[in-house]
Amino acid sequence: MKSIPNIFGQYQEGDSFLHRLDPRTKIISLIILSGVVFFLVDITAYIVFTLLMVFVLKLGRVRWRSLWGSLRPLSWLFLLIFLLQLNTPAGLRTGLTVIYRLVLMLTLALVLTTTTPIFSLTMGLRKLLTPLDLFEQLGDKIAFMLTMALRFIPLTAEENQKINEAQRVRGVEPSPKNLPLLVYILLVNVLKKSEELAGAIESRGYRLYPRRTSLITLRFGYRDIVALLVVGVFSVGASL
Amino acid sequence: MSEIIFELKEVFYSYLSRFPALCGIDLQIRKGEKIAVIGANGTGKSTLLQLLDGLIFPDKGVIKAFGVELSEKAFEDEAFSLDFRKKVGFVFQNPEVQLFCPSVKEDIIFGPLQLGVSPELIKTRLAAIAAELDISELLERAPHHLSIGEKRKVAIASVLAIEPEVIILDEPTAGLDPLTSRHIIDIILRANKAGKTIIISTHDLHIVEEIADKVYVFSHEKKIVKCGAPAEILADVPLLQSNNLVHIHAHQHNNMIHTHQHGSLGHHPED
Ligand SMILES: Nc1ncnc2c1ncn2[C@@H]1O[C@H](COP(=O)(O)OP(=O)(O)OP(=O)(O)O)[C@@H](O)[C@H]1O
Ligand SMILES: [Mg+2]
Repeated sequence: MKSIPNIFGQYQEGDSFLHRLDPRTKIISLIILSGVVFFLVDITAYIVFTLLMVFVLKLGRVRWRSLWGSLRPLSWLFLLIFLLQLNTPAGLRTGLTVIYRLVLMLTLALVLTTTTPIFSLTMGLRKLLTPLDLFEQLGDKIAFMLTMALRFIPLTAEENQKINEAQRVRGVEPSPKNLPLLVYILLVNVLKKSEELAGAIESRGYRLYPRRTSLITLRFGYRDIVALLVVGVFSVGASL
Repeated sequence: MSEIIFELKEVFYSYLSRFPALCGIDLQIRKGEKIAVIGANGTGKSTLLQLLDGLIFPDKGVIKAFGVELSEKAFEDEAFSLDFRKKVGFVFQNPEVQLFCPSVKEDIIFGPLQLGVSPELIKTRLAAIAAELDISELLERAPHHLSIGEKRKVAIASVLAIEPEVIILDEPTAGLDPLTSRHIIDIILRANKAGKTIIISTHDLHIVEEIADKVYVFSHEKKIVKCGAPAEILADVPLLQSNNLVHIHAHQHNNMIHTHQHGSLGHHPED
């Protein structure tokens, strides 16, 4: 079975400065820096931001190979955006700008996922959403929904692949003509699985204990203060 | 005799009120027993186990667990739900759907976290179970990337972590290599020695003797046709044959053609 391309990267064991940051710091920095990307206007700003990215990649010991690995599967998307933008007045320039912004944001996401195990990533998210718990445990529900969404992406992809293979074995080549049938089977199968999944979740006592506890305690240290300060100062500087 | 944990009286169940899956089931399960449910495909084994885990409820008849009748209403009572989910653990036939967290570690601690076990205790349990099942290296991996055998181990770990009194397993050794299968049987037996009630469905006749002290045979009519000690059931070849659990097979040994039944029993009776 061909696996789904790893656009969002995969955790790499390590103990770099970035690995040791609190996941919350990294998530917040990702959000702020992604915002900054949209305020980059002149060429100097782009150069400075790019240099910062190179520095961050070094700091997290992220390999160039994994960056390339996550960008390559999207090349068709980049091409499409580029071609679409070519028809507009400032064509070439806007096209390149949009693509480069996307690349920068993907790089940021990649840094987060390669330096943070999924476990602490979800825990960090969960903690950041805690204030929402005031409204009927909303934070908890959102975190759980995100977890489920994460589960359903590969589940649907696998199901799709299985159906494709089953059809090919019977000599049916994928064509737009039998797309409706394929979508129908896919939907039925995914629904059946989600029903079973609901049973599995219920069986293990989902939401039965009123007060949620968490396993790891996140530690917000001096490193996090330094990191957030740098991100803050940089963002203000970049948007001036 | 020890206390009765599950009691079913004349239980009927059908999916979407159209596809019958259980037609008049009577049985009792006592604390500390090892029960095996065997039967061909589609005879209602998984359906029975889901009923026992309080995931579905009978159309007709009564199912009682720990003296309380199981129904949607009973589970609306949070105190009862919490107590029941702590006491009963269910390993699904398809580990694919049982595991839903982004990492193996999260899947294992999901149950205990939801059921209010303290973080310190969860940590100790996690370490102990990971070591026992030999899955310590998998803890940070995504469950859906694992092999079938690894997934099954993680699914079992996620139920053991709850430390339930009753462990229900739907075909826990299907698709496993002999060594892994052995390993899993040992874990189940150890849990039983520690006083846990074990309920297993399987097609694997050669594990029945070990994993059960009482066997229920399900027929195509989606009913229990026989119940008894493993030795008694395994000796009833006509019963096993008529229920697709063994089949007559002709083949050649040293140029002599002969016939004998074959099933998961494997060995040749005349060897
Ligand atoms: N979700 C469903 N919708 C409709 N019918 C179902 C559903 N699940 C099971 N059935 C039907 O109920 C009957 C019993 O199914 P069940 O899954 O309990 O059998 P089983 O003994 O576990 O089989 P197997 O050995 O293949 O796992 C079968 O006839 C099956 O077709
Ligand atoms: Mg089944």
